[in-house]
Amino acid sequence: MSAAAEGQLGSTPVAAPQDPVMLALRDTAPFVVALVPFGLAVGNASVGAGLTFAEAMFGALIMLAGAAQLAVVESLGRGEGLLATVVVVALINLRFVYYGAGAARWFGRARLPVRLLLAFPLVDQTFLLGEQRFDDSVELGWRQRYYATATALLAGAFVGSQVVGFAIGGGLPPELGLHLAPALVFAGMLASHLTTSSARLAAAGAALAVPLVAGVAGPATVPVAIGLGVAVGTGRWTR
Amino acid sequence: MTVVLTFVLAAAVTFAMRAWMTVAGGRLVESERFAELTRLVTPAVLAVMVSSALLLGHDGAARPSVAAVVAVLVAFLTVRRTGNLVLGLVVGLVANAGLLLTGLV
Repeated sequence: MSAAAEGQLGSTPVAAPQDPVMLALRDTAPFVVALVPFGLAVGNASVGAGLTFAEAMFGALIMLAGAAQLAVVESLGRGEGLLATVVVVALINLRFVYYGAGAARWFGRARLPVRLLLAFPLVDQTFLLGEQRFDDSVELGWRQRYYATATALLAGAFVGSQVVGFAIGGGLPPELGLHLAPALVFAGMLASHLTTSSARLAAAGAALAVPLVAGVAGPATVPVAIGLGVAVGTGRWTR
Repeated sequence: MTVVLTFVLAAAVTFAMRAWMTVAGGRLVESERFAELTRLVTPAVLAVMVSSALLLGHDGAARPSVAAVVAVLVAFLTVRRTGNLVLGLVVGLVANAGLLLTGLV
């Protein structure tokens, strides 16, 4: 049985196994676990910002972007202006341009309306899963079924946990450390992606850039740090 | 109404970011050089997600929690050794809770 068929997210690109739905279910499970506390936090923040349940759910479904949604909720809670809020969202989501390049490559043979539809729910997790699984040998239909399954699971978990977070309306014990879950999953994935010296340089450069640029870049810290990490990885930084 | 309008505009901007390369990427996304660059995006994104979770507060850079740093290292090493993401998540959470509850950090 191949690594893919066993559902292990390894560092080596793997051939497509028989069932994309089952593989997507297995691959996405750790992300779903990690998403729940984040969804609870966003639901809780929506209550704190004075949003109605319908408004909170509308925001969750129309954006499908957790960090940016949280930024909108917090901005609404502080009574900030529309333009300022949208600019912050654009800066936070600038990384989606990188991810969009991945989706454009994976689904390049599909019709434009389908490609646009598939781009709508693109998030950190689906980008990472797609980069891992969508080897050149994997056919378009397989990719679409895998992607749709992963997206449905992630969106369901995220919106569902927001419903619960909204209903609870209170904090969870910090000792549970659930807020750490996304970082732990990302750290685990990073462990299996440091296979080349370029990748290690990119990761180190990006990680170090975060505290260095945070004061200047503000809400654009994440995309700026990613860009710097890639520059370090390619060696362009030193040329 | 303001809430709905804000979400609609935020969603429109977000979709524009996601779809831009699909609409305007053209041959760029097919080129080997571009593929080489995007291969480095994945480790960079992962490192930034971890780093920002540990090192960023609401107002910029913040001092990280020792328990959180240890938990992330434990999760990293667990997956490095076993290749199992779920195990890394569980072991990391247990390490964090253990350190906080025993008062070691």
